[in-house]
Amino acid sequence: MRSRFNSRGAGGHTLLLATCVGLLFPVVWAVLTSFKPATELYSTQPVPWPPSLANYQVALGRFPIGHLLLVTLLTSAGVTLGQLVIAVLAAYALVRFRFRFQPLILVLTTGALLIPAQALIVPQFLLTARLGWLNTYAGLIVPQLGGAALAVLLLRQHIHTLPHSLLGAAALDGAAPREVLGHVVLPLLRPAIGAVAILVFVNTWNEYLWPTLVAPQPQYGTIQTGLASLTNTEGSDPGPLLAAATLATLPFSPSTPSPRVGSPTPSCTPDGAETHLGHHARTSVPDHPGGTRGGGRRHPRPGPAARLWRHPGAR
Amino acid sequence: MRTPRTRHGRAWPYLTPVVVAFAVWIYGPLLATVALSVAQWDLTSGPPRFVGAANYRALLAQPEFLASLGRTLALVGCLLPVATVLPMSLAIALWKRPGRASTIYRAVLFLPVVLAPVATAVSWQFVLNPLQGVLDRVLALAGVAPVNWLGDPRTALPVIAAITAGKLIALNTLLYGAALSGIDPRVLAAARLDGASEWETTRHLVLSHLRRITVLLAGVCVVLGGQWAFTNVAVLTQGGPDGVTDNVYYRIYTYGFTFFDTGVASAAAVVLIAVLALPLGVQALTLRRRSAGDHIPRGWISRHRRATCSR
Repeated sequence: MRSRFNSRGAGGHTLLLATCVGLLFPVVWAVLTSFKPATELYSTQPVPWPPSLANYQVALGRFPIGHLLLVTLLTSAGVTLGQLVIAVLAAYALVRFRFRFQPLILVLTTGALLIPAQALIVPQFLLTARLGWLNTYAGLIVPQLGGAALAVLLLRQHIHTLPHSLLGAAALDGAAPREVLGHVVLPLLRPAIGAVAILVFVNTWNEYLWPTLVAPQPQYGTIQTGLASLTNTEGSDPGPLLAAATLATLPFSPSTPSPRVGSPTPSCTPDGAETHLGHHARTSVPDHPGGTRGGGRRHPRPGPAARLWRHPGAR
Repeated sequence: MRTPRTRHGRAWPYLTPVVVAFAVWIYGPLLATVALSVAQWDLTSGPPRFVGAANYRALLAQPEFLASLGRTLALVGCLLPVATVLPMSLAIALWKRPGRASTIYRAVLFLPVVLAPVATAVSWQFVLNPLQGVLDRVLALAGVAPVNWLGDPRTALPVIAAITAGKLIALNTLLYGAALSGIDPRVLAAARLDGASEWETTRHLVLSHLRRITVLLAGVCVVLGGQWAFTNVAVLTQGGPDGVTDNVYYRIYTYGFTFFDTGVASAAAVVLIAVLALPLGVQALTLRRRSAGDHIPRGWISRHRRATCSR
């Protein structure tokens, strides 16, 4: 799709370049400055040469940055894991089963996305305090599991795109729903789970509001709350502060190359992806005549029919 | 045909975690917020007392609250064009020239979505330092007097808006890009065959295709813009100077956690939700009416509409 007019091409490039500069200049500048020695912090020379790690040494010595990073890492990992478990189960159930409250649950999930977080902080904080979870990992992780709505919707979107004949084949081979989930759906869902996991991890790592309420002090908080409280105490000495800020964003350089991470399914919008496949196949999944909750014997795994389809390339 | 598989009970084990999570941490607190808004309780002296609409009356009688409400609406209003027109242009510019440069631009433009807002705010604070910050130094070269960007009541709010807009622009460019990749190239080829110019193609086919996602993203801006501004305000200005950067989100936080007035904080939260419900309701209605199909001009373009990915 090449533009026929070169002047338009130049205009586009100007816009893109200007936006990139405008959006990222402060961050890039801060990162570069963090490598400058203390005497040159405010110099207009862009790249420090030679680069100096003095700011980082001061920062690590003065603030419990390692501990803050560890807390943030564990919190993000915990929330990611919890939300994924919740979301995979819920998304599968929303696609696989047809039941009376399905539209209600969908509405509630979408609604959970729309409610502003600040509107709920008072009761959430009171409940967390009542449970004795202030300044604990439980208090940091568990309340943030309520944010699984986005993960549920994204995963549900992706499960919809799986061919239902495949799930039907698995059921034909006698798989119970949980086995279909474990043996057929989950392997196919891996890329989507990976994308959602990165999204949730990043969002939890960057989260400022909830950790500030639950664990505001540097000994218990995440790197974001620690950084925020540092801006108040270290305003006159920005070197270590910028070093801390750089460390707070450090984990994300590996996750940036793929811009489609975290975006909703690219081609059609969510409504478009609800193809006829979903409705026609869901009603045609037959029940295995042998029953699915047979006595003490473990149910047979999905047979050759389903296994043939399991290779993702066969989609 | 109803088979035993469609019995209601089968889904619930899978749904229990999400229902419990929502009930305990989202909808329970929602109801509690409404309940607390008609009560008075400062967390220490005894059980909450029912006071009816006293919190609301106190809230609406405060000029600072009304001013912060107005400022929140103004902030969201200013962010709306930035959140739709600019990302649309960027996404179209990227879409028209696929290649190495576009990939690099996309990766760069994606960064604000994943960068920590607190760290971004700290970087901005450093750059905007009135005494020695880089921006004022550069402006001084052009002969402009140094501006106290975050400390001057006239510039503080636009600066907060600009910092917030960064993440919004990045996210929306990504989403517009995703929507653009859904345009069927055959439709565009057909239009080109029929002799449409670049601009006509863009205007009639591309923009109308993007109408639905624009409405969606406007809703995203309304819902998320204020929340993202909260972080910047909390880190950089704390509502000042002279309360110019105060907004309802930050007010709820200060009512609840600086003054420990849970009743008033909850009342402010309810007001916020009510104020947000209006544009979101409008958006929901708009989206539902258009779900039958985007409006595309009749004539030679509608002939090819069937080839477009259906909404």
